[in-house]
Amino acid sequence: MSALHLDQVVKHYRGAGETVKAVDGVSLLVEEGDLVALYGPSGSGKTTLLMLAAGLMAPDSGNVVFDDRQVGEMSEREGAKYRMRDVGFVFQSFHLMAGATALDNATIKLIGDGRTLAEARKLAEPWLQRVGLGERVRHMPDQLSMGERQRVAIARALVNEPRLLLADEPTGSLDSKRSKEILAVLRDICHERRIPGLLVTHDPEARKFADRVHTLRDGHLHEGLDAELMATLS
Amino acid sequence: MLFRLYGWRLRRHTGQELLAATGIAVGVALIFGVLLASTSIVGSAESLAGSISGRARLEIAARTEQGFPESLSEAAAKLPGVQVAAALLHQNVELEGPQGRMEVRMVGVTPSLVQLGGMATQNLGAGASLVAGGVGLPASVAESIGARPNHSVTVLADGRARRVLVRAVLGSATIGAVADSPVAVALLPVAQEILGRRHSVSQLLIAAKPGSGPALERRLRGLVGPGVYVGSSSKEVALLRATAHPSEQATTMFAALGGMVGFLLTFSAMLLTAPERRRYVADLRMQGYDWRQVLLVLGFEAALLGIVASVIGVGLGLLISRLFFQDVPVYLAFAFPIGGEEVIKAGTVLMAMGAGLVATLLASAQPALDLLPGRPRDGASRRIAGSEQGLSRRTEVYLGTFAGALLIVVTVIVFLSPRLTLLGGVLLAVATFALIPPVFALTAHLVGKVGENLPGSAHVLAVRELRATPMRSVALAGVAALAVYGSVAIGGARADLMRGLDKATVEFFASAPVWVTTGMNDLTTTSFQPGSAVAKIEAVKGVSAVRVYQGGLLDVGNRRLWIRARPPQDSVVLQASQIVEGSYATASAQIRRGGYAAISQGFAGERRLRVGDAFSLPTPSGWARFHVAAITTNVGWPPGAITINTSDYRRYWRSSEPAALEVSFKPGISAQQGASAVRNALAGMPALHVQSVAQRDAQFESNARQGLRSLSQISTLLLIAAALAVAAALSASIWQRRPRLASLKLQGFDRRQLWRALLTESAFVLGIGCVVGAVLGEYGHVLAGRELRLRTGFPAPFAPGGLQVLIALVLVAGIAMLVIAVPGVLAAKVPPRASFQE
Amino acid sequence: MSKGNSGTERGTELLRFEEVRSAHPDGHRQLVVLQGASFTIDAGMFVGVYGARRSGKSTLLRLAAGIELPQRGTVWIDGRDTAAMSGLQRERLLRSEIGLVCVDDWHPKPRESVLDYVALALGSEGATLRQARRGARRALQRIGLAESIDEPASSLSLGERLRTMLARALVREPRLLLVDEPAAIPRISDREDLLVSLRRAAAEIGATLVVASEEMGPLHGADLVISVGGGEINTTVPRRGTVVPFPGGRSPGGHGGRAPESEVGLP
Repeated sequence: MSALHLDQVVKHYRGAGETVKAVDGVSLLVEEGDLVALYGPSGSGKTTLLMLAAGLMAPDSGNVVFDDRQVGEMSEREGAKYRMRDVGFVFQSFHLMAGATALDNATIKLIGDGRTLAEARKLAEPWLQRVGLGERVRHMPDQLSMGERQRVAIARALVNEPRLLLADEPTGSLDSKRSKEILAVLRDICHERRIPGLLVTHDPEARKFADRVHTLRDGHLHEGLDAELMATLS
Repeated sequence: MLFRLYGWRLRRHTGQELLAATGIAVGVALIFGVLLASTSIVGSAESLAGSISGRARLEIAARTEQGFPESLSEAAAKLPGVQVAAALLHQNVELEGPQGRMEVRMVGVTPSLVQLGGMATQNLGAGASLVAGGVGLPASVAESIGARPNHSVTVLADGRARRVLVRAVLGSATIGAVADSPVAVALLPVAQEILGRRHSVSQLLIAAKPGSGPALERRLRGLVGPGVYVGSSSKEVALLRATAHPSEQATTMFAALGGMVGFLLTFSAMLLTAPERRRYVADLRMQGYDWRQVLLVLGFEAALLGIVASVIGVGLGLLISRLFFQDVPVYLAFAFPIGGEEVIKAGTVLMAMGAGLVATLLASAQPALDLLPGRPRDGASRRIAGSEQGLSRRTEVYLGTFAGALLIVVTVIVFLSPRLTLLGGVLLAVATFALIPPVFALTAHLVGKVGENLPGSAHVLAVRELRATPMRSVALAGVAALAVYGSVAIGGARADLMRGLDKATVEFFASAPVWVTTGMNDLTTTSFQPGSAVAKIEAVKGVSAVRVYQGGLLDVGNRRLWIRARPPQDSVVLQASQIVEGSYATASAQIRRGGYAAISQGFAGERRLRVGDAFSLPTPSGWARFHVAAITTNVGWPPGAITINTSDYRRYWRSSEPAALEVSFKPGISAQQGASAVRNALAGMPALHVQSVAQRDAQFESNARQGLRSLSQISTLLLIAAALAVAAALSASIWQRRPRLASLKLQGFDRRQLWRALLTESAFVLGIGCVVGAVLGEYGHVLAGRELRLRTGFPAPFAPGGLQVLIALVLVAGIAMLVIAVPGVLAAKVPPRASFQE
Repeated sequence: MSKGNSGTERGTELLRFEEVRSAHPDGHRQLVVLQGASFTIDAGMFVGVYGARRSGKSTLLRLAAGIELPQRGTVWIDGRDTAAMSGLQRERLLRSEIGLVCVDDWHPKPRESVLDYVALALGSEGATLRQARRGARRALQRIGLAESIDEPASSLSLGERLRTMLARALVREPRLLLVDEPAAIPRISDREDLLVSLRRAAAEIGATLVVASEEMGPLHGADLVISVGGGEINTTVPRRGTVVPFPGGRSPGGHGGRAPESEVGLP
């Protein structure tokens, strides 16, 4: 069963001068085909949760399980393979290679996985079209707007046909219209391919595209939006 | 795939990769250029000798320029066990053609030389024309003097001028390595005639029958006696190596320094690229690249950069070597057969390139450290600042202690065993670098304390930077320090040496106001037939005396000794300033009497001789026995010198030919006037040169200093290269700091304040480097001078290197600051909003 | 060394935006952040700038600080046109008149103490280090960070860091203090303490305070709230119970703008 299951996961770390309880006993199940939106104040540990799900960090305690595999206990090689083949991760502070075209940027995972550049380009192009960048595949990042760059990063995360979707503020740089388009793409991917998706966001539009909504505050997970957030979002 | 990835990165970060490549190239160029210079001399001599002697492993050779009787050579050739024997005669002569004059080695050869199979002799088709008499010239010589086939040139030898026909101009296709050498080739009888050395030869090259080598050698020794050398045919090269050793030590030292400087430059350039590469590593890992793939990518990019830059560096080094070290060193060429060929051994190239590659890989290791298990993998979320990383207090203390320990170790080992001075010099250089961080901290502390009550922002900002001891500043200060160190240490020793040589020269020639010699660039060691010269000079009005001075070179063991024979009537027979042991008055009297010799330190040390001891020299007439009158320095000739009087010389060397005529005048006649008069008297004898003592001094010194000149060129080159490279790297790092400069603007610092602060900070960095380098450099100067005096026996009285140090400081700091000023202005203009941009 | 702001009477105009247009290049196109923004801020006011992320709040602050220039329109700081000043003059504004605090602007040296990092801010005025440290101590006391002054700046928690940044800005006693997102701290209690300290310190030195935030909490008690979004701005003088409308005057719950309205006075 390729669901993402976090079970009583705890992750504290020493920030500057204090211990931050980023994730303090969080349990969450994201089923196949579900897109879960996760809200919460800045610095509340939402990004940490995504990192744990991607195997970029190991939890202090608790389990992070995907497809019956203990993500937190993977060796370096297994983790790398997991990230390359199974996970599609859209980062908040994504970095595109400034010297490569949008198309080539999107191919980075595929060429790391052994494909030739030609093959990878062929596979990546439809994804760029799907995020609305069909006309601009040959442009360099400095010729693209922030929003367009973010869409390249999204396409980059999807080209390897992941089985788990993790997104950190994927619409942060996008205007309203584009945000809705992208959120729709993400929702459709999850539904079409029956994969779990975890979406960290501030965007109020996102909850209309998600199957479920949670809030992470002070390391604890709550269902739906809590009162404070409701107030800010209506 | 790897190429693509690098290509994408390169497109964006061209500037920084270019800077890194420059650092590597400069370092490799320095190492390679210097190595090339030092190997070329011996290398080209080896190549030349080998191309002539072919498979001859044995030789018998005269110990002096006079040669030995041809009959001896014929007898030796007939000994059982000899397969091929070829006789040679050689002597230095001057050739004069339509376009100039040149000193060459005239070589008389026999046809059997071809049978030895040396490279130079295999295609002597054109050389066959020499059978009819005349000489063959290599293309380089012909070009220099404007000689053409079937036209004559003048040979000035043995005090006479002769017209000789040029039969052939020989290129390297015909005579291999010899084509670049200053030689003139003729058949043996022709050469004997030209040189006035009938029936004598210099050398007999012998290829022994298989298995009969050792026995043959014994037989030869029995045949010739002590006056003639019997042994390996590579003796010349061995002698040359021993003679060139001191300058080779110095150039090796420079190569080591150049290497260190290059490494540091590479390192600091790579430091600047570290933050970007660490982000790159983090990004790749986020995309699922495992550590082996990442390592492969990093390693590939570093290797590619390293190789390309090293190749450029090697090319640059070749250029440097061509520009500075191309001339055949006169100060050695008169005594040894040195070709003009540049010998580039594959080993040297590989070594230089290997060094560049290793430096690049090491310096780019830092991003790879993020791959270690302990480190978090999402480097992108942390603020990374590679070149901003500073050294901890603890590290600074360790380094200071380490430097202190090194200083003690160096002092001990050098005083215990002067032979280890080169090692000591290298260790001292390491100590110089290790001292930089603690000095940074100390300076920051002192300036901080002093500046607490001073208004103004420049020093506050500068101290703030210094206190952090960022690695890039330390590396750059280190470069400056090493360059200054090398310049001060070796430059200081060189200055001492020049002073010593000058003194020695002046004292040597003080015995007469006018000197008549062959005028060649030698140690007054080429003798000539005076003919009617003496009579002619004596007939000049005002001349009070003409004395014969004799001299030559004598091969004893591993030393090509300089023999000086003084007429007893000379006012000066010894150089007072060069005496190390013994009394000047007593020794002078003893030498005048005869049976006594002044010997130089090295020779004395080898044979454990003290003043008064007896020793023997293998002369043409057999063993000559002398007592030691005094022990001297090597008077500027590394193998050493022996001073006797002319009666002993005539007796043992069986020759009354002068190497010089000393002319004294009645009171009231200046050296200039005297020289002029003598010149007129000898007008019909173009092979003789007349010089006043000042002119003689000048020629002598210029030859002796030639080897030193290339040292000073290397040192200047090192300084300039270091200054420019430091300036470039400092500018780049200032440019990289723009976001932090912008942040300071938000705190109210305006562009002028920032520019002053940047300059102040750079001045501190450079100043610290230069001062540390200068102080330790002076210590290195003391050690190097000591090595020169004690081990090689050079006259090199120590004097603190005031001017030298000042020049080094001004050159490095001055150039660097000038170069930094402009980028500094531009960086200071950074808009404050740059503080927020990625 | 307190110069105070007695020279500026409360109520006189300190900052004025006149039809200001600001656009940034964004790849191949221009992103218009402000389109014809106009407002006036008088000395002594506490002004809030409210808007969602990426709505242009930071741009507005930068224009107010003179570190960005408008493409069209004019920004007047104390009667002077920022565009008419030279780069050097605008840099000097940051020294004498204006303090700008942004969370990203944190570059302490390793081992540098909090005191020294704050004292650095007085270096530009020609103070000796000793004098600067005295001023820094005072500012740190004002902002409530007296106990941490000798600690290395790089070891501070986020809240302490923000206070230090505020101290740095306060130490030169600017007439106009611009603060970008002081609320970016996880714990609510810390956040509130910080905001209280900030308001008090600003009042003590008589500075005009402009705070930008994506939440209304920090803007509680503002004399004026400028809402930013979609290139437009709206100014509101909040009263208890008034809803701060979003640019375009659209009703709550509707589309348009990035974030819908919010009530003043709620935490």
